[in-house]
This record gives sequence, structure tokens and C-alpha cells, in this order.
Amino acid sequence: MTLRPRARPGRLSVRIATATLAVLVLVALLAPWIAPYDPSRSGSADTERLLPPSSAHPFGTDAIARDVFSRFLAGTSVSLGTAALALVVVVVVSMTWGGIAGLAGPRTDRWMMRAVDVLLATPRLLVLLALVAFLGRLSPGALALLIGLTSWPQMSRIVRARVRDIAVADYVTAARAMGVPFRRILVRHVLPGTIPAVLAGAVLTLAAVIPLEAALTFFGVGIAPPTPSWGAILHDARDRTLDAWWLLVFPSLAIAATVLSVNVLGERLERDLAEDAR
Amino acid sequence: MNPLLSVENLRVAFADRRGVRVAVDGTSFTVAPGEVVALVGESGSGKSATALAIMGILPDNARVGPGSAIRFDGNDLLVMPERELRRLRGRRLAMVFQEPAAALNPVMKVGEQVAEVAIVHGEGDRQVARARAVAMLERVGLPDAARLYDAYPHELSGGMRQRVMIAAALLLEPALVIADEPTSSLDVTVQAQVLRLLLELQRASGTAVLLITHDLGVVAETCERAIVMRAGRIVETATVDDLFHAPAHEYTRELLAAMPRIRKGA
Repeated sequence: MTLRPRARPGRLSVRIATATLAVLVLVALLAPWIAPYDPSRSGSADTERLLPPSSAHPFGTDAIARDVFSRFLAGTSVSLGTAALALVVVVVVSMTWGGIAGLAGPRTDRWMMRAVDVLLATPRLLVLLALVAFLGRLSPGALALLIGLTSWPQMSRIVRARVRDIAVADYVTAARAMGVPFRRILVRHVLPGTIPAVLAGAVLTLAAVIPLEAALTFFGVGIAPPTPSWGAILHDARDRTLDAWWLLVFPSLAIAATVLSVNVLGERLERDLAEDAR
Repeated sequence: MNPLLSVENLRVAFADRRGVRVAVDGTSFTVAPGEVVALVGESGSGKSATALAIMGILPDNARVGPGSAIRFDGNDLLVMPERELRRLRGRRLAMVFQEPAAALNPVMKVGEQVAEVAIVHGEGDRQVARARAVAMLERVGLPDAARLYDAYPHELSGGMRQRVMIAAALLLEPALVIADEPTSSLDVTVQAQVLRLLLELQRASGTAVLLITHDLGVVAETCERAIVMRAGRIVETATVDDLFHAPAHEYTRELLAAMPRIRKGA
């Protein structure tokens, strides 16, 4: 199966989703250069606190007189970066775990999948809260690692199922008959065939980890201040939802738009993959 | 001469939800170095299970009976550790599969799949393996081998794919090649070419071939000796001449009678 770009005209929703994500990623990459202010610099406590949006501060200012627009731009970087890193962790761990379980003998497989069942049965938020309580406040990288390490079991099931399908393919038997070692069979012959399924799973994962980071940070147990993220700006807004709406609206819109766009593209991807499989 | 391969009282059973099914029920036979032997029988007679047992690549739900032995180069493959078996496969013992379309990895270049055999057996780095693979693709009669190296299986015809499989199987000049119905998925016109190629390479490198087939026409053309299997047992072992002119077993006669013939005026 090949993934090729299609000339077929995309539906409007797909175009909007693509454009939204492209803009957000661009913002994330260029944040340090396009931010009008230093995102952690406080202005005058008397004249610049909790200003509504204006031409000088397009997204207003927060309770300690920081420019919310600059914080939003930097926060986009942090939020999307954290999600991307968590996704990489999920993909690597689940492909390794699911790949080995799918190819190994029935005993190893059973043992590895029971472990996945246990992890899936454990409420992720609770585990994360416990870990955060234990580890203290976190850098974005550390939070991404934690989210990634608690989010892979679902995907590992998808990988294992695909691997088990591929493992009985003649070309895997043929590779064994040529004396190709287990690890090489896994890496060269089996895992490449799981990539379409992993892509589809990655979209679901991405749509889950972005709000998760925001929620944890909003509750004050995610990324440590003063690092900005969408969740961090919401955290700063928690006691002023009525009098400083701008603190709430922009990061909320960004989270909603991202998750929605990711889901729209994911749906499209799944349709394309289903067509390719036929 | 000592046999290259000696299968002794081989029993293979498959277990599934419905119970245990015996596929191979106490077969014994030998293959001499450089010999071309046919293993003949209808589908379900245990031919392929025998082949997979020799290669040591039976599926997980298969069991080999106690008292079975498969001696190759004097060693019993059934008790050999997997590490050592792996070093034999592809180097001393190779297999050509029935469906080249399925036996080639669809997302890997065909040349790489040939070169891989050399790489995994430590017979040269990537460069050397590539050169050997290209040379071998040429030997199996593929045009423009250097360019074909980078092709994917779906870009090739069925006959070309089977030539690639043969190139991979014979790259390291193994002592024995098991060819499991190597031509039955191919067009009739291509079948003869592929068989001829297999035999040419066999003669050139002194490789023994265990040719698994249900096609007695193929047997008559290619083999010296034939082993006839039915329901997991060997019913007759004979030279091809004897088999066609004086079949000893009723089942062999039935198989012969079932062969399609072209009669003049019919």
C-alpha cells in the first residue's frame, strides 16, 4: 500500500482543518520572532494589569500585566511541542511493545497483553496526578514524557493486531525461511506494514493528548509556571472568567480548533486508508 | 553416498479449536546431494507441512511428534537450537514458495529482498550484497537487473516475481532447495520457463531440489525420483520411469489417470 497525495478535491472542512493546523504549526515555529513582547515580562502593575484586547495588546494582558498575545504565541509552541513529543513517545513505545507481542510466542504475547489490560484499566488521570504529586512541577519535556508513557497501551493493541495479521503473511514466513533474524523481521518486514494503522491511531492520540496537557496544566499540575502554554493561560484565568474573558477565550478556541482539525483530518486519513486497502 | 536430507518417521499435527488434525503421519524418505526429487500428492496430503517441518518454520499451532527426526548434513534439525537453524536457513537450506506475489514483501524493493539473504548471513556488506543480488537477478534471466533491483513486487509479472524468489533462494548456493508448487500460480507458458530455470541453476550449483507438486506432468519433465504422499503417508517411492510405466500403488494409478492429456482428434 502506498500513501500518495490525492488530486481529488478536498471537502471544505478538510481544507479549513489543514489551514488551521498549518497556521498553528507556523505560529509555534515562529513564536519567538513574531511575539511583540517577552511572554514572561510583566508591564506596569498599575496601568497594564488585565487590560482588554487593544491594538497594543491584541489578546489583552493578564493579572500580572503580561501580554497575553505573546504568551499565546509562545504557549502554542509549548502546547503543540508537548503534544508532538508525547505522540513520538506513544508511537515508539507502542510499536515496540505491540510489535514484540504480536510476533512473539503465545505465552509472551499473553503476558504482554495482560500488562496492557492492566494499564488500560488504570485511570490515566489518576496515575498522572500521582506521578506529578511525586515528581513536583514539570518542564514541558518531562510532562510530554509522562503523558506519552501513560498513553501508549491503546495504540499498542492496534499495532499488535496488525502485526499478528502480517506475521502470518507468506513474506514473513519466507523471510524466516531465508534465515532473517527475529529483530530484523520485526523492523524490516513487519513494522512497516503497521504504519497506516499507526497513522490513524496517531491522530486519535494527538486529539487526546492536546486537551490532556491543557487540563493538567489548567489544574496546576502540568507544566510549571512561568512557562506559557494554552493550559497555563487558562490556569491564570481561572478566578477571572467573568471579568477577563480574553484570558479564557483565545486558548480555549485554539484547543478546540486544533482538536477539531486533527479529527477532521483523521477522518479523511482513515477514509483514504480504507480506500487504499481495497 | 550419505543422504543430504533424511526424514525419519516424521509426524506433524495441527491443533485448532476443533481438535487435532494429523497432517503428516510417519513419513520417511531421503534426498541425496544434487538430486531432484518430487514430493507428489493432492492438496491436503501433507506435502507442505513436510516442507515447513524441514525448514523449521511450522506455524505456532503445529506439533512434531516424538520419535521424528530430520537429519540434514548429519544433524537432527528438530533438536537444533533456533540460532543454529537460522544460520542454516537461506545459506544451506532454502525454500521457494508457491505464491511469489505473497512471498515477497510488498513494501520492500525486490533487489533488497535478494540482497537481504547475503546480509543476514554475513556474506558481505550492503555494497557487496547489492552487487551479488544484481548478478543473481541477471542469472535468473531478468532483464535490466540493475534497474529492476529498485522495483517493488507489484511492478513485476508473476513469472518475474518467481524468478526473484528463486534468485533469493539460490543466492548462497544452498545444498537443498525446497520448491513448494513453484509454478502452480503461474501462467502455463511461464511455468515451463521457470522450471527450466530452476533446473539449470540446480545443475550449475549442484543443489539438491525437493520439488513439491501435484502436477505429474512437472514430475515427468524434471525429476529423477518421486515420492507419492496421500493423507499424510507415503504410498510409493519410485524412479520417475517406474512411476509412469509401472505404478505400484493404486493411488498412484489414480493420480496418473487423472492427468489431463491432449489426444489427437479428440
